[in-house]
Amino acid sequence: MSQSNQILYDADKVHFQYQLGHQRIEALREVTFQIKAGDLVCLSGPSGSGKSTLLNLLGLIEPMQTGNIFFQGHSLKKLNENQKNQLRKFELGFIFQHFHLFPVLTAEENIEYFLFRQGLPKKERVLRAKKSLESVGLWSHRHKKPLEMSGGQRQRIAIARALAKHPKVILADEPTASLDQKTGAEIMSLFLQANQERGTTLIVSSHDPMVVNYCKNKINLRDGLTVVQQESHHVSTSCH
Amino acid sequence: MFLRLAIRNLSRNRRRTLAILLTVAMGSGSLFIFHGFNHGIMNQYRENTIHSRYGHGQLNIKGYRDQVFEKPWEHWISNWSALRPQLNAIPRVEHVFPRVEFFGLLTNGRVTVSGRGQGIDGLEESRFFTTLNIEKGVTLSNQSDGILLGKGLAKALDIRIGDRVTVLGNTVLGSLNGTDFRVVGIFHTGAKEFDDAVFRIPLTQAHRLLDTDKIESIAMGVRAGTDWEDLANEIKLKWPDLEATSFAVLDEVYYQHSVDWLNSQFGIIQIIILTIVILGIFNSVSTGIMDRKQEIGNLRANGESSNEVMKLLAYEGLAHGLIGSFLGIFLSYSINQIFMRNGILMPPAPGLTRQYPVMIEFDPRMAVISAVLSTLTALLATLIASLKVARLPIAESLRST
Repeated sequence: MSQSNQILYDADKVHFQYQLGHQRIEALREVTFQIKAGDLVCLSGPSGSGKSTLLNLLGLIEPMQTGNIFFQGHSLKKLNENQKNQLRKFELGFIFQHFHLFPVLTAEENIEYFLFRQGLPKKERVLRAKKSLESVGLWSHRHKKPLEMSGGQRQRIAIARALAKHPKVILADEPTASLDQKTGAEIMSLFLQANQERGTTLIVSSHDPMVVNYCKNKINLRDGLTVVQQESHHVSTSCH
Repeated sequence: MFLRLAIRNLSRNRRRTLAILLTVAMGSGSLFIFHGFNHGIMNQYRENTIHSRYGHGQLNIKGYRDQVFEKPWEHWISNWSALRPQLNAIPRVEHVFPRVEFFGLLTNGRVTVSGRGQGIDGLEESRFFTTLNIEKGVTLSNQSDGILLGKGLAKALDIRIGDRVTVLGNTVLGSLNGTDFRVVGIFHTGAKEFDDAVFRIPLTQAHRLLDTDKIESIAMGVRAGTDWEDLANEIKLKWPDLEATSFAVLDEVYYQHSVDWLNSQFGIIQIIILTIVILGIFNSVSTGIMDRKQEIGNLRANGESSNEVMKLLAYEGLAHGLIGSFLGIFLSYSINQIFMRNGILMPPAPGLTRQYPVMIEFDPRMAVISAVLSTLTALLATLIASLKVARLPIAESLRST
C-alpha cells in the first residue's frame, strides 16, 4: 500500500445550489474538508444530503459556484474546459451506479476505449485491459458484451475500466446501489484492493453502512452540511 | 476504435437504423432516378432535334443569322462545290448537308397555302435525319421531282401520296417562278410549328426555283464525342468568313430553354428531397441520441469534449449516409433495370404533338453526386440532432433517464 500525506483535494466553503423552476435548492452549504492522496473515503449521508453533488464537483462534472476546491494544489475554478477535459481523461476515473458501459462493445473493448482516447498504443492498451480484467476476475469474460453479463459483472467491468486508466483518483457514485449485498461487498473488496495495492485514491458516495464500513475516512453529510469528517481505524478487508 | 464504436452503434437499435438507412436511400435513389429521367428526356430531345432538323450544327456566312436582309441570297455561301471536299476532309466531320430555305406558296389547284421550303440533298440527308418521322409514303431521297410535306401542311392542302403540288416562289432576281412536284411523303417531328409550315424539295430543284447555285447553310453531322466548340474554332481558323453554330443555339427556344428549365426544376426538387431527408434523419437520430444521454455524459465525464462527442456521432451519421446512399442507388438502378426497361410513356411536351417514351438514363457521375449529397445531408442532420445533447452539462446528461 502506497500512501502519502499529500493533500489531493482541499475543499473550502463549497456552496452549491440547484435551480428547480423558480425554486432554489441548496445542495451544499459551506462544505470544507481535505482528502489525502491514497485515501479510501466515503461520502455518506441520507438521500438528498448532497453526496452526489459533492462527488460531481470533485469530478468536474458540475461547475463550481461559490467556495473553491483545489486538486493537487490547483484551483478547479480556474481551469478552462480543455484543462478540465485533460484532467478527466488522465487523472480521474468514474464508476456509476448504472455502470454506463458501451452495450455494443465487448468487456475488453469497453476498457480499451478510454485507453485509446488517452492515446496509448495498442500493445499497452491490450496489456492494461488484460491486467485490469484479471484484477476483477473477469478475464475469461472479455469477449462478452455488457448485456450478456450480470449486474455485478458489469460493475466489475466498470471498475476495471476505471482502474485501467491509471487515474490518481476514482470517484464512485453509489457503486453498489444496483447490486445485492454479497455482490456489493465483493465490489468494495475490489476497491479496497485497488486502494491498497495501487495506492489509488478512492472516493465513494453511499448511504449503505456496509460500504461506509469499508472506508478509512468518512465525510458525513446532512442537508448539504459537513457533519463530521472522521478517520476510521477499523477497516474491514473482508467481503463477507 | 473510434470508427468501430461508431459502426457498432448502428446495430444498437436495428429498427431505427433501418428507418434512417431507408430515408437516406430514398433520398439518394430519388435524386439518382430523377436525374436519370431528366437525362433521358434531354438526350431523347437532343437526338430528336439533331436527327430531325439541324444536325449537330450548321455553317453560315458570318453574321448571317443575326441580321435580317432584304436580299438574303446575297449573303449565302457561293463556293459550295470547292468547300464540300474540304469540309469532308476534316476527320471529325461525317456528314455535310447543303441547304437553302425560302418562303413559297404551295397549290394543288384547289387550295393554296404558304410554307417554308427547304432545298436539301435528299439522298445524303435520308441517311442521317432518321427521326424525321415519315407518317405516310417515304422520305425524300433521290426522287428528282419529289416533295416531302409536314403533316399540318399536307392536311391544309388535303393531299395524298402521289398527288401533284406546284410550288411558287420568287427567284433571286425577283421574278415569279414555279415548279411541279409529286408528294413522296408526309412527316411529323412532333413540333407543331415546324410540321405546319415546312416542306422539303431536292436542292437542285430549289436552286432552279430560286435561280441560284448558292447555299444558305450547311448542316453537319459529326463523329460521336466531338466537342462542337473545338470544331467551330477549327472552322473559324480555316474559314474566317464562316460561322459554325451548334444545334443547341439553333434550337435555343426548345432545346436550350428546356435544358435550362429542367435543370432549374431539378435544383428545386433536389432541395425538397434533401430537406425531407434532413427532417427524416433528424427525427430518427434525435430520438436515438436522447436515449443515449447518459452514455454521452459518461464519455464527457471521462474527458471527451463536446466536439469529440460530436465527432463520434458524426462518424455514425457518415456511416448512415454512405450505407444508405449506396443502398438507394443500388435499389433505384435495380428497379429501373427490372421494371422500367422500356421507359416511361410521357404525354406530349409543350410544343410537341405526340407521346414519347422516356428512358431513364443513369449517369455514373450523378451516382457519385447523389451519394455525396445524401451522405452530407445525413451528416448534417446528425450534427444538428447531436448538437444539443453533446453540449448538455455533464451532470444533466448523467442524471437523465
